[in-house]
Amino acid sequence: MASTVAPSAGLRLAAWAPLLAVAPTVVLLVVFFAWPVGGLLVNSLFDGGFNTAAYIRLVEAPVYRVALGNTLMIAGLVTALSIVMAYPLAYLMASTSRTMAQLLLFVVLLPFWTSALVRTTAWIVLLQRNGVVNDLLLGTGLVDQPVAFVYNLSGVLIGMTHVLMPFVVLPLYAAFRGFDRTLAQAAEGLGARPPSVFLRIVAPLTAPGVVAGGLIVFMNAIGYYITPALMGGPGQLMIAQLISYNIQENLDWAMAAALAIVLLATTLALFWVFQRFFGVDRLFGSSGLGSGGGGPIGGRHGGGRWALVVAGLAVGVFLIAPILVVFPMSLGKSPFLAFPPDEYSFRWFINFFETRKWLRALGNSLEVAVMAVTAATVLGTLAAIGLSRLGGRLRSVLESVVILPLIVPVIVLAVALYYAFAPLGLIGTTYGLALGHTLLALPFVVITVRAALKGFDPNLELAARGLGAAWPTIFRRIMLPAIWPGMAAGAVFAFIVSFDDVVVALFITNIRSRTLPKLMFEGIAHQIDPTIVAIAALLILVSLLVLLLNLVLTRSGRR
Amino acid sequence: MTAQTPDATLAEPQSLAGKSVSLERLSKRYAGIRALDSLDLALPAGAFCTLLGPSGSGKTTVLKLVAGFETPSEGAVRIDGRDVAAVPASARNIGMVFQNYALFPHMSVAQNVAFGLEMRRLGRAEVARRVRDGLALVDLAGYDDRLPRQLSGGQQQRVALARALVIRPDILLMDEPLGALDKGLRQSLQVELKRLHARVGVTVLFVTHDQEEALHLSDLVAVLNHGRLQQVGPPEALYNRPENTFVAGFLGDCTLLPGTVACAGDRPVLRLADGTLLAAGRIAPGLTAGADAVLGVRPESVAVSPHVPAAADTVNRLPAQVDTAIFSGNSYRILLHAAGQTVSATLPNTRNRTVPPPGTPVHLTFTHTDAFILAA
Repeated sequence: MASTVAPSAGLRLAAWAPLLAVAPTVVLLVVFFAWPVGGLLVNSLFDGGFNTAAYIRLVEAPVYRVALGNTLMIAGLVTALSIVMAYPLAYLMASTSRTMAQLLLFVVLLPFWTSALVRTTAWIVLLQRNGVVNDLLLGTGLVDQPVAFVYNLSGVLIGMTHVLMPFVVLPLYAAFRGFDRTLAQAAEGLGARPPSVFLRIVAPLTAPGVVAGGLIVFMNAIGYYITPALMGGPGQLMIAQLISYNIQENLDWAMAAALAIVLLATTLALFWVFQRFFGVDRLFGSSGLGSGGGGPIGGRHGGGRWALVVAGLAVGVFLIAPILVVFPMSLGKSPFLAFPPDEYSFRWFINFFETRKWLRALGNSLEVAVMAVTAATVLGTLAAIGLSRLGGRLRSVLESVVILPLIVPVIVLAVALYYAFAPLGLIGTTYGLALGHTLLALPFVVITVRAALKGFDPNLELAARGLGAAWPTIFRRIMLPAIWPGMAAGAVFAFIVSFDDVVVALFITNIRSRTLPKLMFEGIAHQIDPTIVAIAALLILVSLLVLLLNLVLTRSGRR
Repeated sequence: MTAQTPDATLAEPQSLAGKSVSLERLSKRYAGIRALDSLDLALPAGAFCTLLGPSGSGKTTVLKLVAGFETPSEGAVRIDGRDVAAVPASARNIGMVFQNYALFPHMSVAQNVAFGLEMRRLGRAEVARRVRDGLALVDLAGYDDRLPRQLSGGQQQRVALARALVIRPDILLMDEPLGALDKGLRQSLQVELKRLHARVGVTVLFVTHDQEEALHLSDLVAVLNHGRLQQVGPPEALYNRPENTFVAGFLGDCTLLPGTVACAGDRPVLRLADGTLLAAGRIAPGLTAGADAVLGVRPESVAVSPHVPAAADTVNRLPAQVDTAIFSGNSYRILLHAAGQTVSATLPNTRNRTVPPPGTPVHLTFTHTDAFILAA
């Protein structure tokens, strides 16, 4: 009898183990996200008794109505621009030689993994009144006076499209790589000229990738904070800025809560649509971690192709130029930014390492990143293993919950954390910020470890168990060697997420605990001094390093 | 090509007379590698022509050049005598059936078939009529709303054929269209294709690596190897009178016995290494006495007999020993040792047939007119 009892007890434990593994992550999300969001909802509806005043003002007050309109319009335009620009680039990537394709992929991924703050800085330096582009235009006599590129709609569109376009390029590239070129030939042979081939064959067959990417862009764009705040003018006020304004300046919590709830609801609705039609896996695929199969597509080299190639290259230049321009500019000697600099020196790098406030901010950033990376890697790996053992609906529900921090606008997460931390006294502490960054980074670890686990043959575990190994041994000797590249990649992304974050830091750090990006943000909002450009160059180097590291890790993961 | 069955009006064959195609010194290089080397080939209007060769022989390259998906490195493609170098693929009025069929996966069967007609800006009623007729022609009436993935391989193949035919092409190109199908289906579709061609009369350029398929279908077969034309002619001519060992070996089975030319002239003779003399009906031009050569003979021309055959100077005789016999339904293929070589013979599977067991000494005979001498 005893022999029949023992396995069933073991079985019962085995059934609970996956849930136990996912539990810490879910508890964190409930306590620091779901519960405060609930609090916000209550706050927005009960202002001395139940009333919907905040929501009514949202619709009636011109400032909010305009901001809602702005948000939708800007997000729509950015989505459209991203799609239009992604097509020639993705086509070029899929139809060119292997080396060129690798180079272009790098051109897409480097900005993708460079902090939005750094990219925004670079664009301002390029586009401002006395910036690089205006200098060029004035110098060649194309214009008489500087063109206003930034602090208006064009600034917001340029900055946001640059940040978000890779979300369309990557799935579209995969779609083009999987595209059967004989279909285009068949259409051509049946009498279709290039525009018809594109509209009737290429567009419909690449549409799923584009729609998926476009939805991600739109979801991200409506909650955007940094870029519109720095590159837009008063006419481009978006919801996220109004949330920030209501909390930090106006101290109108009901209004901020109402705005956050509207933003969150819209995003979740879009996410629901996305998941309904494309599935969460598609989201994983577009993180730049996977790569499509199939060979390069090609065709007759006609005039139309050259136009496409030129357009694709132009988009590539658009993506990489601001990143590249930062380096020479950071090496200037003069306190005024110039391109190319008259004299070169490391003055501003030295200035960074010699200035107390910068060093202190760097220290804070690193301290927070180390804590967040450790916590996110451990919890995320556990959650991923747990998820892989769950079945059916429960898994898909928990999967959606776990990747929520990736979906919801960061500003909503920041507000929720602020709301939750205030009574706990965590505001202004590095622990509080590390907790916030752990939440932000968790989805990345879960995604990369889940991907690694997909390549892990569950029979190996059965074989090990059959050979007499206990679970800890199985994990250490069998599973860990298979998933560590995924864990490492997840840790790398977790570091980037933590190290680059501005929005959460803006809300829950103070002058003592502020991080490097927060200090940069404050600087950029006033006047970009050369030290900030030097820091931007350093941060790009970090991204470059991380990208190469990830490349090495995925290679070793594939072996 | 004018023979019409009553339902042939469906395809309006009178409009599909087909155009002649001529390839002149056609070459194509990819990154310095010659995929096709100076090919000269003339296809008469309305003929069913097959390009036959192993993979990598340049067959598909020819199709792409004719279709206009690739541009020639040298040489020209002429359709009805006109050089089409400047004509884009979309304006050549050529129907193509791809190896993987290339059906548009997001369009229904009817939409696929209608695509080429819409590109020609035909009226809605005309498109509908031709789609209906086209699907009827390939026996797929009523499948209009299916998606390609809901069809079997053979059905997909027929949709691809209908799509290529409804545009009333001057030339129909087919790239191993039966390659992905199982044997039974392939054979029945071969018959259908042959009938269809007789009905619609378009010029067909068909690519395959399957020699049987080439022999079954074609008016004219061009054998390619390493991007070069080996021989072109009606299937019977290629089979019976191959001009080199590649063609002899690629089309059907052929025993090739190496030796030296003993006598060129009208009654050519080959001497085997052991001294045996074998007479042949033909000798490849340019071969003179003393040259290294091979004598080729088809297995079905070789008779196996337990007795010493009666003497006749037009018949070659070889003592041999049975090695092994392979049963293949309608016949036995027997491998024998003779004159230090392996010779293969076919015995029809008729009643009362007994196959000599391995090791049995026998005599081989074949008429000299069934043998040919080719350059080694």
